[in-house]
Amino acid sequence: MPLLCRKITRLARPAHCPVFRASLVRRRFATYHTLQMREYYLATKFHIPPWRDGVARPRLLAGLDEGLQNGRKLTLVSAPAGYGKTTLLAEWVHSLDAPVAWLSLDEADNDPARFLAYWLAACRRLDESLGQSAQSLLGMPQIPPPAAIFDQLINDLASLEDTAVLILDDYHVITNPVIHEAMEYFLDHQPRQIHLAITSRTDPPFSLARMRVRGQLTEVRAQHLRFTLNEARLFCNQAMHLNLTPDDVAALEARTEGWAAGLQLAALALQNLPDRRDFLAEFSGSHRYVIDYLLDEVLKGQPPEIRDFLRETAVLQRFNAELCQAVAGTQNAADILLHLERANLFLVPLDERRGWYRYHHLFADVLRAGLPAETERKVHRQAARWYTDQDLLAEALPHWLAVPDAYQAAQLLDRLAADWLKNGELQTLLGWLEKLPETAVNTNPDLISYKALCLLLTGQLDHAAQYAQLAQQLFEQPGADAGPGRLLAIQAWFAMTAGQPQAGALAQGSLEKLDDSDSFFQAIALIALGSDYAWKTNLPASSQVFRQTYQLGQRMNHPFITLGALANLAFNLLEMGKLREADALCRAALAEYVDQRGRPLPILGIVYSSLAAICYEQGRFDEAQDFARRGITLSQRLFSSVILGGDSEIVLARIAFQRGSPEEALTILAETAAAARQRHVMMVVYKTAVVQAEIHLMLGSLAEAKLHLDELEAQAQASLPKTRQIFAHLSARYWAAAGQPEKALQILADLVAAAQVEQCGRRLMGAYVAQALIQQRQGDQLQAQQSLAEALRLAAPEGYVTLFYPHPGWQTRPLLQACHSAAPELVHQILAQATPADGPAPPNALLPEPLTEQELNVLALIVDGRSNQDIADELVISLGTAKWHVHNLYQKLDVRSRGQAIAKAHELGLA
Amino acid sequence: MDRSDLSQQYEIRVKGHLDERLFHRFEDLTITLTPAGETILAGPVIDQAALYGLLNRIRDLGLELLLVQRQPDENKKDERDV
Repeated sequence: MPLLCRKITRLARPAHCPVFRASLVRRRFATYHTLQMREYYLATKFHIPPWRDGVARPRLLAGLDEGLQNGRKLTLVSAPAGYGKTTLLAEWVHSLDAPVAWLSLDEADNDPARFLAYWLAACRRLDESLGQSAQSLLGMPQIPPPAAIFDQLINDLASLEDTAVLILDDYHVITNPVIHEAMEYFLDHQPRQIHLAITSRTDPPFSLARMRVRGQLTEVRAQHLRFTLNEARLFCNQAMHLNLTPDDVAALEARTEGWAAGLQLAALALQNLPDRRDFLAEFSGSHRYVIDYLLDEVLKGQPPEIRDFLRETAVLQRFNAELCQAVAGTQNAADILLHLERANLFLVPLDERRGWYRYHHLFADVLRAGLPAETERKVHRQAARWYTDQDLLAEALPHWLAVPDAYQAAQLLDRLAADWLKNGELQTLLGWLEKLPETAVNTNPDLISYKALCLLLTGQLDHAAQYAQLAQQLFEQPGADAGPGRLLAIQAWFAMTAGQPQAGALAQGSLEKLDDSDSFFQAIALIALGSDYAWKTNLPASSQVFRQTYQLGQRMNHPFITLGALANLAFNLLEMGKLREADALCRAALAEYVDQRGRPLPILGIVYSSLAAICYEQGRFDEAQDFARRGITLSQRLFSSVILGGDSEIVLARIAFQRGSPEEALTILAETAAAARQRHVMMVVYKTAVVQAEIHLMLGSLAEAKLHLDELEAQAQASLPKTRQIFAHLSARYWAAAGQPEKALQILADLVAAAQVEQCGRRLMGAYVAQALIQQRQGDQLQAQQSLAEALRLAAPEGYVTLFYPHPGWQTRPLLQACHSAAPELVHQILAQATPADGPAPPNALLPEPLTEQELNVLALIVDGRSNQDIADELVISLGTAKWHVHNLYQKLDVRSRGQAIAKAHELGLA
Repeated sequence: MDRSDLSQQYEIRVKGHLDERLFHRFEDLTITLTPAGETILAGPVIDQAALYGLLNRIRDLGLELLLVQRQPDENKKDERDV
């Protein structure tokens, strides 16, 4: 593939490592500020190691180049420790002209959220515009499956013009199967612009055999990495200046089996020995493990001060001179580091400035092995203090745990948790919570709260509830303080999802106690509070809270909270009769949350269900359906079921009904309810029951409607007025259909009064429409027109359309025409849109020959007891035409009389 | 990269009968289920990195490892992968 290789050319080898003066090194340390330190520390993960080994390995580089030029997907450098894997790739990338991103992995990267965050950050080093859309998904309380995130990134990478090389160093530290699967997914979908190179001590669990067969894999293994005799000679005599005889080199090569680490140690040992022959003979004859033997020899050649320094600092994963000073108690740590680097003593620089280092992992393990336990504890304690002082808390934490000092560890964890939550690093937080002794967590209400929250967000509701309860018990003991703010926030959230009325009080209590640093818990409490107000039909207060949450989300720079608040606010506005504002808010978000290329960020999915509901009310069913489907896809792929509330499914069901497929509508609702019940999200079960009842009422299937109504009546609580009002509205329609219009009208009058007080515009319109329906049936045309006109006047400026559409039990056309003057444009729009295709009477479809719309109008009037002349007047047709319609519908219904027609209409749900 | 075959024959025994749906995870190996209720995975393993990778996969599947043994191979004189 010549296309790929045009940019890949050999560059001149970099000069050997530069020598730094100790004074310079020291001055640099003094200039660090804490924040820079943090960033700088993290940046070391992307640092491309310098290549300075001294032995060029052209035979291996040629193979790597070939793989890249042939467009293979993956280079795998797989060999045990000390074979020079990293060194080889460092040499390679220094020779490449292609853009390279390097990521050094460590154990902490086993959290998928963190692993992916570093991946994206590494890609951004190739091109700033890469991975924005993927990045937006990482801030979720529970991160989406990695494949979904990679999808976004893969799109971006596919737009790169040149081939880029992405290197993952030390992949063997990854043990989380979620990450392995994600990597396999990436390999399966890898854009041709990316070449992946991985070093690992063990073969990663990808389908390597398949990739081999397909020629997608370049492998460098131990057999390739072993130094050949010639390479060993170059290393000993040129790089290390040992001037060994060919026999000596051969003996060394044979005993170390070409193992780079062994050769290097042997060379180091030989440098300081007067009698090399004795050493070589003894080494060759020894059966001791090569590294133990050689390291002893090398350390023997070092002054005690250096030996102690090496052993003690080997406990540290990474270090700079200051940290070494704190740990080893030496004043000249910077000089010692310089000495170690010059003497090639296991030191790996992690940045350009020689600020941070680590030891070669292999040597660190062996060095540390000789350290007395007491000294190791001391080192951990000093390191923990130093990191804590530097505010590098995540680095301090493992050291406090190793001391072990559970108290300090718990304190730190408490301070770190908010950031992890914000970044979606739940696995990291849960992981550390599990590493702390159980008593340290279970006696600390804040940590229990965090644990409950993590479990809640990962969908482990039962577990989460257990912890919330455990925390509760702590505060019920005599003398204990009232619950802390965080715990109350969690309890409020639980109360909200369970539909319990105390959610608001809990949330308010929580907000009084939380301070601003606890923004994540504040957001949770606010959402619970806003939701509680909404269920208590205080929509203005609820909206105020959601606006506050929205602002908090923006301050936190947390799109999930911002858009979550926005979605809730939009639903409120829709309820309040402010459809335009709801629409404008959501559409503004659609325009705002796009990446640099103008594509919508997937996080927008949170507002899709609101948009679907808005479009539904506006009668834009195609658009509503599209938003609802995207919302559902997203919720299945990206969110846990705990977070989204079934609103998209409800819109789909309503559209199906409007389009004449009541069976489909009911199926969607039944499935949604079953899934929600299984996950104990009772709020969703409730919402689906409402719509099920609604649909059965419209179908005229009163028996089924009654079943759902009974269920809803049982759930309607005095403490949650919204549930009572919803029930009241539905029961009014039930009584109307069941032949008790007076009872229905009484209920509706109360509802109208309440909705006016509570500024529930949408419910007010709904009640007016229901009144009109009943009044029309009663023959009270004037009253019916007045009611409908009220609804139209409220609806017109805001664009509510769908609630006026006809359905089987109610033919709106004549009435709408009569009310034309109340809102001419809206009526015109409704009549134009509400074609039979939008609202055919589904039971009507069951007839051998369905009734036309006009026949349905006529039937409705017959059911209302009107004469043929009345019908003609009402529908503005001639008496003859009216009779003709009556005749035709008799035939279609297979009836002989008005009485039979009325009975049949009820039987079929046409009245 | 040249892949001159230095692989060694290995036999790995794990407790229980491995589910057939998992066979594809061990693409290069012959899988035998014994009457004694063990599973034998046998076949060539390129080197130590591959062997440890294989053992990791066995670990990640939650299998109980009973035995890992390199089979004597008369054709191979190279003793380096000891």
